[in-house]
Amino acid sequence: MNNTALWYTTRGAGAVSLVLLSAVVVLGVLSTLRFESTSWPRFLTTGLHRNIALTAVVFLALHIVTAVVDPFTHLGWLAAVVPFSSYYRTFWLGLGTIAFELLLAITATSLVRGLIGHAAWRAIHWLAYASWPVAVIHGFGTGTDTWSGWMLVIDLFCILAVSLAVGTRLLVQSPDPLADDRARFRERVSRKVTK
Amino acid sequence: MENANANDSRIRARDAATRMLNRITAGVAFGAIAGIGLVGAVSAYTIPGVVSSTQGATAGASTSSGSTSSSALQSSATSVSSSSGSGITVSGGS
Amino acid sequence: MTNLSLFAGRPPSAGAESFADHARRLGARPAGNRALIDTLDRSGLVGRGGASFPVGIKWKSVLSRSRGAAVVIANGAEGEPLSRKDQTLMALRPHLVIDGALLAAEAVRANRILLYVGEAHRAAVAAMARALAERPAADARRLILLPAPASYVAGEATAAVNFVNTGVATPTATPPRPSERGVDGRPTLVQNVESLAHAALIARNGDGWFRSLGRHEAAGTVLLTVSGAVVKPGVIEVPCGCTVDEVLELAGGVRGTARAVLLGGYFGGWISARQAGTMLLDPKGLPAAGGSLGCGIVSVLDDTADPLEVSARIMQHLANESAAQCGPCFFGLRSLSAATTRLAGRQPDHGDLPQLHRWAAMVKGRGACRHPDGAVSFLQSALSVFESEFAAAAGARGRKAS
Repeated sequence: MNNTALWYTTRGAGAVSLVLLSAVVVLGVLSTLRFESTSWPRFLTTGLHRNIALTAVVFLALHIVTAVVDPFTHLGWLAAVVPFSSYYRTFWLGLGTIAFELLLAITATSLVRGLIGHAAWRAIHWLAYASWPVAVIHGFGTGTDTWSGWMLVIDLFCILAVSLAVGTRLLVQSPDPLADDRARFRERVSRKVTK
Repeated sequence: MENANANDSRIRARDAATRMLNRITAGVAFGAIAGIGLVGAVSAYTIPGVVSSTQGATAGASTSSGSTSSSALQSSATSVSSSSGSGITVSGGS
Repeated sequence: MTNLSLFAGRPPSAGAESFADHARRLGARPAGNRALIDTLDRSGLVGRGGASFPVGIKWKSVLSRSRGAAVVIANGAEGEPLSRKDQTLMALRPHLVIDGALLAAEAVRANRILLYVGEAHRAAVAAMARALAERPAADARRLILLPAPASYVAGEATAAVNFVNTGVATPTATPPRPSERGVDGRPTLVQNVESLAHAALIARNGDGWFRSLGRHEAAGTVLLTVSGAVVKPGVIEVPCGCTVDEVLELAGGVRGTARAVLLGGYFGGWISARQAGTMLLDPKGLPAAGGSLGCGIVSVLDDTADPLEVSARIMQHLANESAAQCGPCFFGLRSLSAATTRLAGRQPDHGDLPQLHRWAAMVKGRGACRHPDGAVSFLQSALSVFESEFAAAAGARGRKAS
């Protein structure tokens, strides 16, 4: 009975993590779009992005822990940190490990952004665009419920939401409130005579 | 005088947004916990291979866990799982 | 103008010192080499551009990365509105500066020297151009005169490097520092022109001579721009370690009663007159006493001037000079300056004063360069020294400050 409970929790936490992480990606993209309205200031987007990301990490941890201690799969803790080291569904699980570690790097650097500087933080944060799809594929490949209708609906919803957000980002010029002033300043301090 | 009001309304809007942030965060956290329970229940209900034909599948969490290793791909009557479920086997080994 | 070392020779009325006079007065230029760097180390010479960083250590760090193709930038941009020492030095003693630049190039093994002179300082530009023409071909070949844009941040080290590389004088993020990768990716020494002039004299006279010029434990002399409520404003050279009182005396004394002294310029901060009087002007020791010599500005505010209005004008200038490269600086300084201006006009918004304190803390350290940090430090010094005036202004019109 314990095993089953563990297993259901793993799957439940996995699905929930996927939804949360998809929301995190969407909110992250919305942050770059500098979306805001009178009742929705920009710090709300970034604040939610951060809070939900941390929530997602908690549920992801639950997903991983319950999977590892499940006696049925004999995963062992190593599988959680070394990709492709499990016997159980080696490839698909390995993808999950990779996605997890990318997310770990992103979270850790975000927590110490003040120490490592903006440029380094930003470079690592780009890995989010790798972590999310890898996580989705991991879910497809190893998920027990993948082909259940309800899970497909959840998957579809997440993929649609992220695609929409990223698509919008690619099409819409992010409004840079400083662009004009910066151009004007550069004009002032530029070399007039070309050497 | 308008200056003071403009500032006040800005501060009030900021406070309102902060409250909303906290509320949404809490909602997401609780919703996620509930979500695990919900997904767990639904997946137990619709799991391919569970020896069950009634809603007892939900109670399957408390029945013998031998169902997890059953290889009988018995789709439950109300399951919507795709019959081309050849992709996913419940038993281990890949 | 006291005649200690940099301005020894003909008086200012004689204009720029010619190469012939320079050579006759000081003799041939020694060679720049590793030994010179050690001498500079022992001399205690620190940079005169504002950061007061030990000159010997800076040259050493560029030399360690140099493979014979390093670059020297003699920084005479002087974008600080209250500072006139660099332009005065270049206008009167251009060959001292050029000597220093050549010595630095030899010591750090550079093969290119740029004389980065603020284009608005026309007398300095003209004097440096003429001095270049007076130099023998061997020297002149390595030197390029490069007028700097007249903006506040153009004199920042990375902005100078950026200007050479891209033609735009905006500060860039460090790392990498100019000493690691600067002009054309090569190790670059960006040194203030006054520092180079001191080095040129130390190379001839030794470190002991330089140290002996200072008072107490301070070494050497420093150029100050004295302005504000003094009888004889202008540029003077004083021994390091002398007191503010002595400096004000040299400037003919204070007109009226001094209320506060702005030390170090827009990038420095206010000191109350009472505190300032006995402060020792030693670039190394001053920070411990809560001040900063910066680029040598000593500006006196008397009690007929409104400290809030002066502070607001300075904040306005700093905000206008933002390169608009990052939100915290551009928007932060704009908000801070607007609030300060409102307080100066005695028409503050409700909450302006506590918001000044809060925003200032938020802006610090969040910019792409250190421009906002300097502005915030200045503002915080004003909030501290003129606390009663700010409180009174915030309470104007019967409104409570919080």
